[in-house]
Amino acid sequence: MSHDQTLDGQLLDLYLGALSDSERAALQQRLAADPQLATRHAALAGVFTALRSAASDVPEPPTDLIQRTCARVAAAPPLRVRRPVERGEATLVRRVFGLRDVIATAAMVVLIVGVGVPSLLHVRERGQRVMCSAQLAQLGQAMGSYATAHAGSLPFAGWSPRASWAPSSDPTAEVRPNRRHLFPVVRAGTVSPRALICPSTTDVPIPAAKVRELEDFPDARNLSFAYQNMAGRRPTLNRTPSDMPIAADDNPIFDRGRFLMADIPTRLGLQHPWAVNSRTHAGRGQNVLTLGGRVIWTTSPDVGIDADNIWTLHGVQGYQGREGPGAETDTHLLK
Amino acid sequence: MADTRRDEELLADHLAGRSGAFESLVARYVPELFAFLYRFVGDRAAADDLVQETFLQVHLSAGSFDPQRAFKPWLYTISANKARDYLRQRGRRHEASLDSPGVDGDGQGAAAGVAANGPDAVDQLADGERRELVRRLIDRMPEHLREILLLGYFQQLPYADIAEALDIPVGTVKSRLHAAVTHFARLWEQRVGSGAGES
Repeated sequence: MSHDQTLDGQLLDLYLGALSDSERAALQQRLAADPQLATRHAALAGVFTALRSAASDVPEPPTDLIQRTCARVAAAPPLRVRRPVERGEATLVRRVFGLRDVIATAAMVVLIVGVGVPSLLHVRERGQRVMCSAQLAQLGQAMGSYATAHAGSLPFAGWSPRASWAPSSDPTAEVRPNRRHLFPVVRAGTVSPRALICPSTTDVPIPAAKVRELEDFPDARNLSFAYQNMAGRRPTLNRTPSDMPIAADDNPIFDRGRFLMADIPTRLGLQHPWAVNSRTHAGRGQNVLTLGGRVIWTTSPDVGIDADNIWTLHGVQGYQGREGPGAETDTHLLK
Repeated sequence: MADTRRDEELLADHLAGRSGAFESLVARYVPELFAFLYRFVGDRAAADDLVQETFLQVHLSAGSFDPQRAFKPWLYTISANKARDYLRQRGRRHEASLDSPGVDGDGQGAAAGVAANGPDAVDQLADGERRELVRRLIDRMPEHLREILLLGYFQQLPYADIAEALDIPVGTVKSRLHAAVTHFARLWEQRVGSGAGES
């Protein structure tokens, strides 16, 4: 192909996949009958061979790009729906505002601020809740992979009678926060540290580069979700009912393992301290992950097996940090 | 399981406040959009950011989307605009003119060596060198030709979708696409010698 030659349009269409079957057949006949066209075809083949070699020369997108994109959108202002402009709507009408107009305008402003702003915030919160749900589902998948590789056992980082999952005044106690049991799935790389951060929180993920150096989440803020208390009878994938909750948004009556029961009724004006929802989504409810990998949004914490409260243990009134479930179906979620 | 709703249905569901619809759209298009933007701007981190910017814009403008139109060309319109804006802000411009391909000193090394070796030199290029050379040559094409080559060849968008995405007639898509391939062929020929494309 020389510089002053133009490329044959049909040959290009052939390589761009823009010819119909009949057009392609006709072109093949022309190629067989026209040596000059066949030569140009061969020349063009070299160019497209070069282009094809670059077709796969693109890195894979980062694995968490979808998640980050969704999170960014969820944090964006709510949708704007364009209203069709009526003809003549923009016409300026000069008029004098009376007291009645001013009062009406003021009432509108109050209405907009009083109703509109909370609803906009609600839309944003709902988007974050959806993202949170998707991330909790990712954690569920990672836990499922772990269980499959460990004869049905859920992620577990070991326990000893001397250990405490709560800060302890006992100097001999070995403090092992319950969140530690989830770290194996992060170490295994089946879930990213960023996926463990609910977008409704101010929590911060562990830098991915540091995961290999660690044995536990260095801080409670590196994990947004509460996990089943692993200090007692532990549920297993094979035996325990699949609708048992095993993880959720953070437990509102524990703070980094410290029991807050005394504060809760006073602060929230609740008659029944266990009725409180997670604070992650403004107290409206919580995303809950079941053993079967399903994520549900609940507006009550009494969603365990037989309406078990997911924030507390059966028959336990005070918590020192050594208490664990007495039955494998007793859900108690905490970090 | 993959969401089987059409793109336009997903966007309508998103507008109606149904959860999960936008996430399905994002998951459906991130891989191809990332590839398109990476080729367009030539930078992985920038492509990452532009993918997010594109979907953010889709979300913010979803209310103005005409449901009678196809979603995909609209997505590419937004995406290409974001990429152009990025390149302008970065001040990146080293396009070669159609009359003087390969005169700006880029593409030395493998390409220059091969050019001196005659018609068979193209066959001696290692796969990696060939890919790198093609990438550089595409990168040096004028923006409007590079853009249409990416959409038409690498993204394999139908002519009608490209026409809608770039807001030009289908006839212009064809002629511009042909001009883009011609331009690339000349750059390629210039670099690897007449054996690459001589008739």
